[in-house]
Amino acid sequence: MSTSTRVVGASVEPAASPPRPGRSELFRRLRKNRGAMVGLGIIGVYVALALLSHVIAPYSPTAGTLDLRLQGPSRAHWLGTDELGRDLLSRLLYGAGISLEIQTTSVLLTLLVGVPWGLLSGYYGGWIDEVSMRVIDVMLAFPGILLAIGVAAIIGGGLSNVVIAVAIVSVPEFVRLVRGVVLGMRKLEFVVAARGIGESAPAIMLRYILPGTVAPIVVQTSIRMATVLLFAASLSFLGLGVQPPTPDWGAMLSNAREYMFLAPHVTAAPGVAITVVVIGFNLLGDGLRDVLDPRMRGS
Amino acid sequence: MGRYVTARVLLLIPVLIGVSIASFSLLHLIPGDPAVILGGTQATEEDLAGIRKEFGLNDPLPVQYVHYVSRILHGDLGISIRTREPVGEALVSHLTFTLRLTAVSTLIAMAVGIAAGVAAAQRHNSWVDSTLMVASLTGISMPSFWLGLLLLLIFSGTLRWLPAGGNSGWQALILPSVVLGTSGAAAIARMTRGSMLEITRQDYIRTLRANGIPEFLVVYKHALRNALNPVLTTIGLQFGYLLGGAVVVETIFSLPGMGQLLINAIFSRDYPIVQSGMLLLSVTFVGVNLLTDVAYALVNPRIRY
Repeated sequence: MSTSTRVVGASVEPAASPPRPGRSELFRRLRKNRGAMVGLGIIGVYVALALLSHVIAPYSPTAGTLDLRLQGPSRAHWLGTDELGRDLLSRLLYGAGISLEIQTTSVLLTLLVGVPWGLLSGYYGGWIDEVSMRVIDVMLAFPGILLAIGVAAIIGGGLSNVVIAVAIVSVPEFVRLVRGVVLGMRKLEFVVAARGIGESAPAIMLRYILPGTVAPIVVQTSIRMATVLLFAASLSFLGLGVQPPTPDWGAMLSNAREYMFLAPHVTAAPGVAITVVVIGFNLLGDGLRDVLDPRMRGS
Repeated sequence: MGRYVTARVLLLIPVLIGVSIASFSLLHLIPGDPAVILGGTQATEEDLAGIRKEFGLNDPLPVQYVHYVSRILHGDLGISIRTREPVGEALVSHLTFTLRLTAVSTLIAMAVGIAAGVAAAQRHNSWVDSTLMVASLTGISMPSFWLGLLLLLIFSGTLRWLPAGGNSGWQALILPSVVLGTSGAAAIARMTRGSMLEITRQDYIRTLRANGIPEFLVVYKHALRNALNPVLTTIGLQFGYLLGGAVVVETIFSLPGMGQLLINAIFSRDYPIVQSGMLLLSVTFVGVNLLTDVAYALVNPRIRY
């Protein structure tokens, strides 16, 4: 009897999840979204410059000539030089690499912690969910930048610590997002059916629930890449993030503060760079949201 | 309504306990002996022994936590390592300044954001809409410290219209408030536009227009009033975010608020200030969020527990 049940059960695939547009249809819709395409273009240029910075930067980002300090844009130094005579274009290009490294590693770290946390909390519910949500509530009780400052105060500055601080600030948002999706999915027919045929909890979470969380995670990741860059630059600007002489955009603006009345050009490049890259990720995030999750449009 | 407020306040208790644990842990998470952290590197062995006794640092951690909470509830936030003055006094004056700056910035954000959102929705898909939405996207994406530097350069450096910082009267608050309010205005504008577009497509608005009610009344009396419900939450949330943003903006303009106090305290390792400052800002943030939720429930009777 039990053998027969198992055989029958094994042959039954859980009911399919509601039909979703195919991948090619999603790409077609994304291509039609002008904002998303502009965002993607900006991100493409940013990533290319960041990856090729070592090849295309005309000078070393850390070596300068004091005789050339605070010079305006010229043929030799397209964006001018800083207070130590270092080429601003080279520092900007290397800075792109550092920003991209901070963004990708901290968002990856956030996903590694936040997604499983949200999955477990939403799937198991009960006291696990209660405790985890109270922890999240406490993390959200601090304004984001303040929490990042607090973490930086404890663990100190530097590139890897900025990544950790910014990742910690980002985790609650992903936990709440994934948990919300899981709560909505765990009573769906195909999940109940999977449980009915004896699939294990990890298998149900990975095979049936996780794919349903991908769309909102992709949208949130793009928007979060923008926020992460702003937080990391703010920490460096305050002197709690990446330390000189590393050519970080926030730290460059922090240095520029002292000389900006003497040489206003030093504030231009890093500020424009941060703004444009953040606009790129925000545009892509908005576009992805329109394509992947039209219910959230305008939120 | 009473039940909702009670439930919302009760939910705050575990959060506040958690926040107090986080604040208490700060001193113990920093590498090094808490007695040395509190006494400074110049403290003698005798001083350190005194500090350990005064703060009960030889007690088990749960006992230390209970003492910490008890001291806070009695208004004793400790002594600043740098100035040797009570932390509470410094925090109150700096927090008052930060709250004033945040309130002015929120008012600017509300006025500009709602006006821009309504204008964009009224001229949907026109160049006005596109321009305002590009401006709001830029406002959200621009780092506040860069905007601050640009405005300083223009209005203090070149035009010499406004002071570059410090606490020299109301003029000194203009640039910081504008800088801080910009991202809030951008977020409120996006939200107002979305909400207005949704409301103006509803049947009752169409009926009002069909009955010949002037467009001005349709927009400002009937549509905007309903469209502002979700915007209210955004405004409340923005106040909280701006409270955090004030920490950065105060540093640019050398303003005597919580931001400058905290950042200076971190650099001078004045951890009692950091600890209590974080706690106070967090409690304020949580309180504002509570008020926002209650206000939203008041204007939207469907929100109930």
